[in-house]
Amino acid sequence: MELLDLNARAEPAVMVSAVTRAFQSGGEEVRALEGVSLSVLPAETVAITGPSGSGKTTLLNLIAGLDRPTSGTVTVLGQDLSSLKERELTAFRARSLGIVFQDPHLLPGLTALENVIAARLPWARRRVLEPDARKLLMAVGLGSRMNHPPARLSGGERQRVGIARALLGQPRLLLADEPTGNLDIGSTEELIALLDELRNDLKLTLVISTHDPAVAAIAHRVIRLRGGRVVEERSQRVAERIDARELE
Amino acid sequence: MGLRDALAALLLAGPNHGYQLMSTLESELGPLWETRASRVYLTLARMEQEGLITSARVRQDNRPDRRILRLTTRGRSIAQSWLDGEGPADDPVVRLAIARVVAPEDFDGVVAALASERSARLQRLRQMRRQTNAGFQPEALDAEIARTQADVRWLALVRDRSEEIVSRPRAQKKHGTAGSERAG
Repeated sequence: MELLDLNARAEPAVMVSAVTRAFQSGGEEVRALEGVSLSVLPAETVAITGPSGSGKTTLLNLIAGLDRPTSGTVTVLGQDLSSLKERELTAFRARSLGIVFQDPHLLPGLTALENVIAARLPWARRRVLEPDARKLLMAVGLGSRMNHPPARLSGGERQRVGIARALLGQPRLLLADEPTGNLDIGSTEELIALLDELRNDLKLTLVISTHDPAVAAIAHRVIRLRGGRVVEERSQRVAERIDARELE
Repeated sequence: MGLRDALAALLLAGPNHGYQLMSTLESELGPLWETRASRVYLTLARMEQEGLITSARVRQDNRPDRRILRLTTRGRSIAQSWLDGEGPADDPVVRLAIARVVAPEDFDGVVAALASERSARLQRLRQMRRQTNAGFQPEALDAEIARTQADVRWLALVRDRSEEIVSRPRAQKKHGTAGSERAG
């Protein structure tokens, strides 16, 4: 067991500095995030935890460039997101980020393979995307279900299509917002195992929001939010890769 | 449960006698504490043989003599390591119950160390689970994964309530519930 050997000089993959996000609700200002600062290093897995309404999704949306902070800055892969116009942000997301949502929102009229490809079609041709999409569906264990529509897939399988879709285009950063929120216990375990394998194999930087401490156990570092503020940050020991012979 | 480690950790609060150590565990853990008094005294005797504690007889008027137990340097080191979370956390409940009594100022740290250890164990079990599909091993690992997940979730709840837990008064042990065997 050891802590991740992180190079302290490495430029963070994500840097959130003094970010506040306020909304107007019924004539009053509600602060979903207040003065949040954090950084995530390359190849690090960070779990954002906290109860419902603590600001996890707001924070992930800001890192994903799906929302903009009221004040403070968000820098992702060296890019200050506030300097990008909407169209540039969309292109940046497509090029550099993979996003997994609690509900993968697959298009019902398309097959699993087509769903993986569709999101990137504006930036690449289908014949270029398809070989990689097939490989990714194999990697997430859906090699035999590529031509199934979402209705013929289980909840866990649909979420795995969502992960394959997020990884198409080889993003360096994967953001996952409550990815196991809609899954049963067995599917949750399978999905965690899959994320663990993918982030190691692809050297991904992974930011995962979850209210479940057992899901957060996958992370090198856990950041806990409450009421829109960071209330705790701690490193976790990470299990070394083990040898199957240990089981004999 | 590592009864030896638990008893040694209780002595971090200062010298004490066996009956009081047992009473503290009983009052903190209530019905969950089922260890027989004879096992506690046998363990204390072994700890003395191993050089983890020393004992001194103290005479009492109209009552049986008591043996005051004291940690040796080695015993203190083992107790502190156990409380700090080194080695397998075979029973987080007992470790936290003792931390609450002997080191309330470090309670959060003990919870964090246990959570980290359980999380790492969970990752390790998940890796093992992926690498086996023989015999009953997948089911055996699933069971252990479920137990470890429960620990991780429970520790998060304890962490959320740690302030209240540390400030809670000790339960008063009901007279005569420590078993029939009195301290020697």
